[in-house]
Amino acid sequence: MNLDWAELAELLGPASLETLQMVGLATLWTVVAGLPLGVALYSLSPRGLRPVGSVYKILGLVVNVGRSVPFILLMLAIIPVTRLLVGTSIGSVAAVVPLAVAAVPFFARLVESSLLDIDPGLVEAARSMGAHGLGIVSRVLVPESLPSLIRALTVTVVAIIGYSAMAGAIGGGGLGAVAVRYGYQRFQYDTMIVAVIILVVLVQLIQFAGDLVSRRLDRR
Amino acid sequence: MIELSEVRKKYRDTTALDGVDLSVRKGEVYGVLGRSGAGKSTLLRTVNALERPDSGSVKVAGTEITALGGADLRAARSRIGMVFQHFHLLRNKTVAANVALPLRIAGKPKGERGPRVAELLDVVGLSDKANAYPAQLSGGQRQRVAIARALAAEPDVLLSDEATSALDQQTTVEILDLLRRLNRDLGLTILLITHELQVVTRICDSAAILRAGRVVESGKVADLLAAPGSELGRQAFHLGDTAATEAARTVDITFTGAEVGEPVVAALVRRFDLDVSILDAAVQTAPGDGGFTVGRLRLAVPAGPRTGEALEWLRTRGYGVEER
Repeated sequence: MNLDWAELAELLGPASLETLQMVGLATLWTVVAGLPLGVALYSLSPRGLRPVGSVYKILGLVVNVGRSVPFILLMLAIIPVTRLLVGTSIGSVAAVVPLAVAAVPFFARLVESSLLDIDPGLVEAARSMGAHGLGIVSRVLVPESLPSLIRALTVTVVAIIGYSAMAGAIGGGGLGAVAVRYGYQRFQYDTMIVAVIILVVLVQLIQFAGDLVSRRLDRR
Repeated sequence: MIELSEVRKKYRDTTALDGVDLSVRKGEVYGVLGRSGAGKSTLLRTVNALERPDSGSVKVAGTEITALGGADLRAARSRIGMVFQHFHLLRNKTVAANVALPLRIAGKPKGERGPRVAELLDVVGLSDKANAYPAQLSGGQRQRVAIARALAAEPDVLLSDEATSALDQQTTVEILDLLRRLNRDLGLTILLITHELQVVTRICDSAAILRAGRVVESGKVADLLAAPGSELGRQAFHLGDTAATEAARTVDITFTGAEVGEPVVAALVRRFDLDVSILDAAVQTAPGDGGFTVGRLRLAVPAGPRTGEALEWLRTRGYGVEER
C-alpha cells in the first residue's frame, strides 16, 4: 500500500467536515423534533401524564412506520420534500433532511422509554406541588432523565453517522461517499480504509463523550 | 381545616372508600391508621385531588377541592404540602435544588428562593447538606429534605403518606418528633396515614381507624385509648390472650390520669374480698398537652355473689370496665 498522504488529506479533510456538518445538523433537528415527540409519546401513553389511548396508538403507528422503512428507500421517497426544504436533493446539506426524518422517530422512542423509567412517584410529588404538565416535563422529567437522554442521544448520533455513510452512496457527501466512490467503485481500497477508520474514530469519540457526560450528570 | 363527608371511590370492582367522613381541626395532627389495602392512600390523595372521589365532598380550609380544576386546583395544591414513604426526591438535583422545586413551580424569583431554602434547611437541621445529592444522604435525612420541600410554599396543611414506614425505629422517632415540632411551631395541620400504631400514639391528637374503606372509629387519641372496647385501645395496650379459669371472669379495667397510681387490685381484695389476679397490664401515654396517661389492666375476678357489685363500684369510681 503506497499512500499519498497529501492527496488523501485533500480528499478526506473536506469529506470529514461534510460528514460532521451533515451529522451535526441532522442531530440538531432530531433533538428539536424528536424530544417533543418523545415527550408526547410518553405523556399520551397509558402510564403518562395525560393518557389518551387513541392518539397514542396513532402516533405510535406513525413512529413505527418511520422506523421500519429502510433508510435508502426513505431517502428516495422524500426527495420532493427535500427539494422543497433545501432547494436540491443532492449534496450533504440535502442529506440532512432524510437523516433527520429517519432519526426523529428512533430518538423519540428512546426518549419515551427514558421517561417511562422515571419513578411515577416523582411525577405525583410534582403534581402535589401544583405543577402543570409542562412544568412537570421541564422541572422533573427532563432533569431527572438527563443522563439517560444523553445516552439515547449518543446512540442516535451513532445511528445518524451510519445512515450518513449510506446517504453518501446516493448523492450525499461526506466520508461515506468517498469510501463508496473510491473503494467500491474504483477499487482504491487504501482510501476506503482510511475513510472507514475516520468513521470508526468518530463513532468512538462520540460514544466516549456521551458516556462521560452521562456519567457526570448521573448522581444516583 | 379538612372535612371529608360521604367520600366514595371505586376501582373497577374493588371499593377503596366506602362513605368516609373525617374532620381534621386546624392545628392538630390527625392520624389515619389502617392495614394495607384499607383505602388510606386513596383517602389521603382525595385531599389534594390526586385522586378524584366518585362522590362525596372534600373541603380544605372551606374550599371544595372536588370542584376545582386547572389553575385553581394547582393553586390549592400549592397550599397543601405532601411527603411520601419513598421521599420522591429528584436524584440528579442537589438538596437545595430539591427544596427550591415548589418555589420554582410557583414562579418565585431566584432572589427569593435562596434565602427561603436556607431557612427551610435550617428548620430541618440540614444546612450543611445544601449541596449534597440525595444519594449521599441517609433515609432520615432524605425525609427531612422532603419535609423541607413540602413546607417551601408555606402550606397550611401537610399530608404524610407513610412518611416513616421506610425508616428504622430510631429515625422514625426523629422524624415523628420533627413533624410534631413543626405542628407546634408553625401551627401546621397534619393529616397522616400509617399502618404503624406508634405513629398515632406518639404524635397524633386525633385518629381514625380505617378498615375496608370505612372509618370504624375516630376521635381524640386520649379518648379512644380511655374508651373500653375501642379498637385503638385494644391495639395499643395489646393485652395477651390469657383467659381466666372457669370460676373467674376476665375483666379489663381502663384508668386514666391520676387514677393510674390508685391501688385498684388492693381495693377489690379488701373491700369485696375478691381474690383477683392480674393477667396482663400496659400503660400508654397519649400525645398532647402534659402527656395524658392511660393504663389498662386485665384481671381474673372470681365469680361470686359480690362480683357484679365490685365491677359496678369500679364504674362509679370512673374506671372503664369491660368484661371479656
